Amino acid sequence: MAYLENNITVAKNQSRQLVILDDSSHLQSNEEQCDIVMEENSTLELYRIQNLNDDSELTTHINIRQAANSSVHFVIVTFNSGKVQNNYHVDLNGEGADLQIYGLYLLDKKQHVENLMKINHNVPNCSSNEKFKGILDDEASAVFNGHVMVAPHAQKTNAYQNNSNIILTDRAKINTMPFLEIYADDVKCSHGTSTGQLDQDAMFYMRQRGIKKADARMLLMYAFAAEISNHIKIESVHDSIDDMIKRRLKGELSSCDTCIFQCSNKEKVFKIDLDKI
Amino acid sequence: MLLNIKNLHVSIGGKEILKGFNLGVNEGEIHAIMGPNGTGKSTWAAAVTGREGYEITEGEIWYKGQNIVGMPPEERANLGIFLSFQYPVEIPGVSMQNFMRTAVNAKREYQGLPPMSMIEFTKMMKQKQAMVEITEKLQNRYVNVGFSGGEKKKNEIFQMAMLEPELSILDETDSGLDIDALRIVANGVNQLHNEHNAFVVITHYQRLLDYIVPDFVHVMYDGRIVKSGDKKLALELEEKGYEWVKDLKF
Repeated sequence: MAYLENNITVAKNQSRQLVILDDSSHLQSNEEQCDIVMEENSTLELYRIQNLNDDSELTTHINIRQAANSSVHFVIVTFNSGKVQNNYHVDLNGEGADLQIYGLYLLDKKQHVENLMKINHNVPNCSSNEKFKGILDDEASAVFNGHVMVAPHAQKTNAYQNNSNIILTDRAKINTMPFLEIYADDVKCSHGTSTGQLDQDAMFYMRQRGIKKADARMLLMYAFAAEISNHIKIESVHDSIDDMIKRRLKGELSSCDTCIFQCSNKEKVFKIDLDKI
Repeated sequence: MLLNIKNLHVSIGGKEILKGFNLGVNEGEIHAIMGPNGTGKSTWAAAVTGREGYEITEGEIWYKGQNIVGMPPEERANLGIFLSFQYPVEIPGVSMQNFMRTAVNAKREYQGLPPMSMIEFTKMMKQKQAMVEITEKLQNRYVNVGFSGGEKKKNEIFQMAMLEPELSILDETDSGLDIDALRIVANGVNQLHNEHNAFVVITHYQRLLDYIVPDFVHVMYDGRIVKSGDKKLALELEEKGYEWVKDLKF
């Protein structure tokens, strides 16, 4: 059992980028806490990649306090990791604070991932946007709880939350709970969820154009996932995550040669320009 | 004969929709299938292209000398069967360029040809776009997302031009089109038409057939063809409506 603690302060008028990456095939049981203080007018891009052994356990507590006009752009991607629980606690304490959080989880076997949010709009004129997407295969399961609280005087709040999932088997499970707790009366808040299988009309449309069933599935799943990973603004990080997504999605294929993505083939004769998707 | 359908019976969820459909199509021909709503026209298109959920309970679909019943849709497509959808599907996140490259190269792979180079592909895309008067950059737009009704139908004909099928089925391509878009779509079809390929145009109205002139017109009612004729039959239908067709059945 390892315990990790990070304390990060982004000073007034400063701008930072931070990548926190787990990438290990060793069995682990970790707990980590990350406290982030955003001073006035500061900006942070935060990228958290979780990729551990399938039998690992990981619990994270991410606490963010934002002062006036600070902005946080946060992308979290969970590949493997066994059992994961991500707890987010965000306090928007200064007017004009903005939080954008994008999550993606690609799960198979018996993996289980929870994303539990608590976002407090404590003052007026703040905005928050939560967008989480997941693809669940085999007996994987996920929980999304998007709790946004708008305090009585926090007028002109903008809060949006969305969770969409693609379930590939009838044994995979998703428990999604969008939750808006609003005590102010002049706010714009909304939530949405969708859970389903791959769009059968789109599947047939692609296959009618000659695209193999497996490739059509992969293109649709990639397009779904890329909507989150495209929010990674550091190009090298974006590209390697993109590559990991493609590898992960072609999981059932035994040989890379037959895969349309051709990620590991350096002499790409036929390269699909997925960056443009 | 390019396509020969014999006594086709198709059910959806246990309900029989096609009840003994027969049709023969030769290379170079244009056929029109007309008929009232709910008579099985779209079901026929779905059965020929191999959509799942359309159960063929009896009959045969011969295409290029083989019975394609049971063949997956992508294989039929690669053998040269193309469907212009009545309602083209929007696919967010998949760009037209990747979609068409994957499709074009899937067909080339099926034919034992190497993938097309990027330069060649881009050139081809530009050329075929011009054919249906799509002027804006298509490659980075997501498939049909944000396209108007007319753009979607033009996009179908563009894809047809890219894939160069031998048998094209146009399912209600004229629905929702204004006269200018209709003319562009028809013009695209007429440019593509030659002695080696065939078209089956499914339509409700005579209007489209002023622009795409059929060699044969078939009237469908209650899951089968009840009358066939030349293009004059379409005019007759326009004049008399579909009511009289119902009596032909028996």
